[in-house]
Amino acid sequence: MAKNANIRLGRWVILIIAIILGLVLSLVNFLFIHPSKEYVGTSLELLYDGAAEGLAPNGGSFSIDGIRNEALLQAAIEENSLSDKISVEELSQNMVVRGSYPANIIDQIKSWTSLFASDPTREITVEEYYPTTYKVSLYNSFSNKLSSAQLKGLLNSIVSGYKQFYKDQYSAGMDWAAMKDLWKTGTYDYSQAITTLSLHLEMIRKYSKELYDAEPTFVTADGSTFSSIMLRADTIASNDIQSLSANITINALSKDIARLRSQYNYEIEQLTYRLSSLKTEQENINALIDGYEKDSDIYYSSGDSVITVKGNSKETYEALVEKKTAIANEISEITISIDDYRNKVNDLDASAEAGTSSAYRERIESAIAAAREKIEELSADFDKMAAAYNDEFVKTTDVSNTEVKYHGSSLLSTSYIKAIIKSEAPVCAVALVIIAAIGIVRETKAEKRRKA
Amino acid sequence: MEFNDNGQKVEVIVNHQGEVNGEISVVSVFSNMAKKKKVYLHLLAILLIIGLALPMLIAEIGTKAPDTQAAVMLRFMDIDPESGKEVNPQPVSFTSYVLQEALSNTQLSSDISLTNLESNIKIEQLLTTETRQRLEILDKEIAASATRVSQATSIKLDYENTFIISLSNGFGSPESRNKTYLSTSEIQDLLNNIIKAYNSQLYKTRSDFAFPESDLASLQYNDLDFLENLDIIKSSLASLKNYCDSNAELYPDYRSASTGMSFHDLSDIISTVNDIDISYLYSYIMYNGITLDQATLINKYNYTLRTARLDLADVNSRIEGNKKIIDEYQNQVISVIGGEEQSGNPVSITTDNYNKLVLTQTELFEKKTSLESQISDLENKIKVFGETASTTEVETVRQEYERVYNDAVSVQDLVLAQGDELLNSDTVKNSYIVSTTAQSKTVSFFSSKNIKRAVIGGVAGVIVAVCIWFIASLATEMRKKGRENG
Repeated sequence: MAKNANIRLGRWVILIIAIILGLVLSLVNFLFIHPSKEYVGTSLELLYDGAAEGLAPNGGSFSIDGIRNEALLQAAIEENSLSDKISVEELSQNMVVRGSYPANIIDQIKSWTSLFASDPTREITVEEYYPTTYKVSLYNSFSNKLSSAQLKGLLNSIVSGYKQFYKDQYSAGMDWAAMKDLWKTGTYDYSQAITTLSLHLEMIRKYSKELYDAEPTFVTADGSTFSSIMLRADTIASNDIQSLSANITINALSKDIARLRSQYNYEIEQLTYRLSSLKTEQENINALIDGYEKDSDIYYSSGDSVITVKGNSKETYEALVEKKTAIANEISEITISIDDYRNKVNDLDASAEAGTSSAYRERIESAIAAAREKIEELSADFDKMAAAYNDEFVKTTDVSNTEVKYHGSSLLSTSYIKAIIKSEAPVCAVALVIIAAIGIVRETKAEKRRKA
Repeated sequence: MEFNDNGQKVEVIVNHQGEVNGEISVVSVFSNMAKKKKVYLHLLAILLIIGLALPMLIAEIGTKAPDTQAAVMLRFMDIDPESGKEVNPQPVSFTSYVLQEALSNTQLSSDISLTNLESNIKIEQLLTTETRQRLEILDKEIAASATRVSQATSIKLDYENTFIISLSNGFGSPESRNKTYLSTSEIQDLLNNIIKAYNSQLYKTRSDFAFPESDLASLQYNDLDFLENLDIIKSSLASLKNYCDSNAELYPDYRSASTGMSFHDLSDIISTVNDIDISYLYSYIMYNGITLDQATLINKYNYTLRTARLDLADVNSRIEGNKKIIDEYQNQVISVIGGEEQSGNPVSITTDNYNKLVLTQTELFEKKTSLESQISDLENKIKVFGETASTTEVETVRQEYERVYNDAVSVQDLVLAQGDELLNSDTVKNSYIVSTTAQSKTVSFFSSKNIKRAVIGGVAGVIVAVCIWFIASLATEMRKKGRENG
């Protein structure tokens, strides 16, 4: 009986040794031979309309690369006071950002519809796919190793920095100061002042239309819309500007009529030179087209299919015709411009005296100032609308993220548990085989003894 | 069998009655099995464990680090330099620079040489669905009748601008048995970075050239007369406007993130500056003949005029020469040799040289037009400054010039800043390719397939053990019978 107990004990010893050996092996492997990379990760999800079509909120194409921009990374480093430990470049290198695609996206792209396909489910063909979820991982491969808390802090800063960057990048709005630097000095003539006002008005109108087209149903709390801004711009253009412009042109109001006249005459001169040369060019091109030896497409049939051999001349001929059209267009544009300047000169000649009265001038000047004020007001209202638009459509919450999680060589991680199973399994299998083999040997001996 | 803690043995007693000599009794075979159960249950355990472990071991050893694939779609067209037409772009290919860039941006556990990386990349361009369907029909036809094979050559292969990039694992020279394997995530990161570097190279080479050359900041008005300076400003603004117009066409939705302006806005601003600043001052100077130095200015204009006239004469003589050749040109006549139903009519074909000549001629016409305008303008200027030269208003003009110059510089800065912003924007960076992330077909160690194999292995082990057990017992029984009979 004591012998039997010893044997049972021996089996347990073998098994326990094997388990310990497996643990040691897995530890050595996990910690020293194939250490799993230490990183923190999160996933970003784009929640705005159009993300699945690869579009940014402003209608351009979207790229997650913004998360790597230098200013953002620099700010994240400073926020975590790591400036003396890591550099922007190193941080960018340790960051891996990956879009999430369906697992078989490449097969889907490669797939095509066979004419003989009887199974309609085969028709899943994908041309383009844009991810709306991105996995962001920050590896701890810095030359100065960071703690897990530092890594987490860094990625959190990057993610929140990116949300702000996203909002700044795609926010609507115009910085009018950039334009106000122009024409701020000097005494411009009346017609010139009108030109700058029209430009300003047109810029507001165009931007409003873009934003209206993007979100036609957008209304602010006080009921204003981008279409109301457009309407106001149109009204100012057709009432204030138009009547001012007519008044100035027809009455030839100017601070310096002679100078305006010389500008118009100069423009007419320049355009006339170009016009006469263009007309010669037009004739030449026409002659070239008439003389061009076109060739024909060749068709011939073989069996039941018709094969076409395209000649070489099609492209050249098209280029010639294109050129001809371009010249004709330019000629008509120039002709219109010349007529326009001629009319202006005629107006100046016809009523050279009208604009000289100082009372009239004052009236015009105050009318211009009034129009300018209206446009400034419209501009300010547009800015308010744009801000409201941003609050509604370009929010930092359009980019959402999951909690930043730490993955590393932790002995509690699933990757370590897998590693234990992988190294324990073969060692224990061998141990069990040995135990069983010993059992066989023992039993065979025992039997021999019994027989003996 | 030791079921009990106290080691009590439980034995199965099998009845031996009714046994006939010379025949093997199943019952006694089973009794033999029961007798040897201690040995064979151990054997069963060994085979069960081996059966379970072996498939897992084979799976673990047999699993190679996986390859990876990504799809790249080119989203631009090339311009054929000769015809000026849009053509399909060059297929995707990676230069050493791109690969080196990708290698240095990827953190790899072991070093990989450029050559080894290069030889592991395979690029496949996808055929269009139509072509594949045509090929499919052809396959059927060939299968149906061997005589139609000759038609195979008449199918033109059309390709999509979609490429599947494969990067196979196992880096090293083909002869070497010791190859470097990357982990799944490493090889995927590497391929992703190759595509990223390819994209940034594409956008660098394709978008830079269009950047306008405008350097008004270094323009010193002291060096030149007013009109000359204004001419430089004019041509600078013209090139800036061209740049804005072409960008407004390429990226109609683009607005600067910092100023909110579109390229269309910028183009309108340039037009306004041209109109109310430059042209206003320019015509004033012209009509009043205002100059810092009349003689020098007229000399310069005379010199430029002479050059322009020489250029014009040259262009005119080239036009004449080309015209003669074009007029005398005859299309090349070829005969098409066709099938039975052919009429056999000869056909005329234009040659490439002829087409090139015709297009050159249109360019010369264009040059002629611009030279003629320039000459008329210069003649006019020489006439004006020869008749009425004035230096009295120089100070007023100087002040106005300063203002015009500053406006032009402001506009230039706006355009260049926005151009820079555009170049670094997602809009441009993403306009050349669309790609997927790199994917690999990996099999997890704990996959259902591997577990199924292990279970099958285990069951097989048990079956083999039971068979051996049974056969051994049968053999014992047969030996016994043999002894009894013999």
